[in-house]
Amino acid sequence: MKIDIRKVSKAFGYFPALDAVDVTVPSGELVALLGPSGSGKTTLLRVIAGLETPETGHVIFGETDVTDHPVRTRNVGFVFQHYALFQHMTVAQNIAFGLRVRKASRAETAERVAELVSLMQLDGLERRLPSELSGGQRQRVALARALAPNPKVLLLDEPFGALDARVRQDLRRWLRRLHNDIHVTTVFVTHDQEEAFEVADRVVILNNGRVEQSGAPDDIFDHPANAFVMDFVGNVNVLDGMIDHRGSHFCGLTFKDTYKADIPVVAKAYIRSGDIEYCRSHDDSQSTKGIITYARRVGPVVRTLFSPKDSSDAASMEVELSLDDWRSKNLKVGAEVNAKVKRVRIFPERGEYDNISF
Amino acid sequence: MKPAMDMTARAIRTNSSKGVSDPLWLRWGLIFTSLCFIFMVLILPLVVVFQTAFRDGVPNYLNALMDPDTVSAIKVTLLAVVIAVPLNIVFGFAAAWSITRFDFPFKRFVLSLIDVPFAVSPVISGMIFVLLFGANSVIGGWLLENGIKVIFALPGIVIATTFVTFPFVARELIPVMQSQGADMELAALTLGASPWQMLRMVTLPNIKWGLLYGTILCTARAVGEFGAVSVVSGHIRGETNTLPLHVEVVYNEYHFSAAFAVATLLVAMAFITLGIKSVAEFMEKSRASENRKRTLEAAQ
Repeated sequence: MKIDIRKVSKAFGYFPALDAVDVTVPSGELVALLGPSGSGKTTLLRVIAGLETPETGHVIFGETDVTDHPVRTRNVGFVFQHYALFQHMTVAQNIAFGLRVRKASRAETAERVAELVSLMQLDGLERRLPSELSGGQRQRVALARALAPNPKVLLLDEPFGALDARVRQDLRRWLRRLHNDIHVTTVFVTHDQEEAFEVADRVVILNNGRVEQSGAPDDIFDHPANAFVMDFVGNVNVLDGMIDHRGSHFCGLTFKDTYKADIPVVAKAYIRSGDIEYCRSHDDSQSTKGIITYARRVGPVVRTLFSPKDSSDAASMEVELSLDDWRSKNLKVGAEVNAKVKRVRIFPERGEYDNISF
Repeated sequence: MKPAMDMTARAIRTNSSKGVSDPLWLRWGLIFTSLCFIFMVLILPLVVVFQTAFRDGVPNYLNALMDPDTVSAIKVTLLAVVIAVPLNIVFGFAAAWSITRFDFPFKRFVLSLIDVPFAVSPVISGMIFVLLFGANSVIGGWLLENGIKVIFALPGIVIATTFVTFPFVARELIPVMQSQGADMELAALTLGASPWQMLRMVTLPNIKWGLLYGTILCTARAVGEFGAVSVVSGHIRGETNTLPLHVEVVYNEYHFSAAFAVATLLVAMAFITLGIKSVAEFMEKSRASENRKRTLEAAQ
């Protein structure tokens, strides 16, 4: 079932949580609402579910305007951040709840519960209480309970937020596989960009109650619509500088072959930490001399800080490179090297310039 | 280096053992003091009550209980309890629900209003009802014209009892419902439950122990309430006397053993309530341990 959000606004007191938000979730897709805390992503999810009423705008499921429908008739599966399992009911009773309130027959209920128990890999846990389960198991029970009445849409609020890193990884892939199997239109909220990009078909980036960009993960990563998205979806160095008639200048870096302005313009350069490369020779204009001031190996990558020599202020850039690269180039903290920028995005104070690759 | 480390380790050890357990004299001193206190203010009076009640022999004791005025007092008390407690369960639940689930202006003020019956002396609240519903007041006058007598009659006793025992249920439920939050109820609604189904299948099972405990406290207080009821009842023997008031009346007539005999009824009621409370707690505990057992079985 396709979900259409049209010009939805909602304020809490004077705080605008959603500001004329337009989002379309195509039928059968898995969409992530991504944004920092306070961006309105959870409010939007609750508006879709009917747990919040928007002040203006419409929520449309398929062809039906459900804006005024109460939550219980919307037929949505909602998985709460802390699962909200019924503490006094066993796993099986929790899963059966949605069928029980619909007065489904006993046999039908038992069959559906058994089906979900095996789908969610909860075999053997049917008679346990939620308090006797691990975090990952609770999460799967919450999913099973939400899916039992065959909802038209599945909504998940920070589904992996309360789990530890390892379980999170597993559950993420598992959710992706599950979605490939059951194909129910799914919207989930997250503040973790990695999670959104790994799981979702489409990502909607929210900030201050507005949609900053929505699209396929690759699209957003390669063509961020604006400075906020660029900053939010990757590890980005932001350098202050200016554009003049010779090119653009940022902390000792000069990009000659880019944009020129007859009247100098203040600008910011956004460079991802993976788009900078260390090299021994000072060969072209996009590189600058400096010192590696910090290095830390994190698994297969090395995260370093680089201090450009010519920069007047003590600006330093984050540079990430592979361990192989680090070793083969024989780099170490304190080494004097050249940093070469492979890709940069320049945002002048007004307007913007596209991706520039070298 | 090594001795220094040993010293630190020892210092930490002594410190922690000091932190965990208090010296012997303090422990026993505290235990002794509290036991003494309990003996003086609880056990001793109870012994005196029963001793005085049976001083003139069992037949006299039974006579005092069979006295028509005593029987009437029991009836009035039970009637007041049977009306006031359910009313307060409904009021208390409604108050707890609106305070924990809705946002409205002056919420903190309303929350402290719930405590007013605790803060105000019961005698004062009784007098307030006399002023409000008495024959000389506007409301009371109108009610009298329509044949409803509130003050010096059962309705007044019920109103006074309800007022005095109002906070118990709400006070027990508010923290329980606050800590549980509304998520479980919202989950029930998203799963298609009607508000009534949500209440019956999710809300009530989760607050039942708080509700039961509040009800028990409320009942105990309703049975024993003296001050407010004393003002509104008018002490009409065989008509508007409750058990505590009847004890006072009989005592003031110098029938000491009869007064204490009636008092044993109140003590018995207190024990019954305590018993129900203990059974409830025991059942909750055994349910929890049964769950643990089941988990262990499932794990094997």
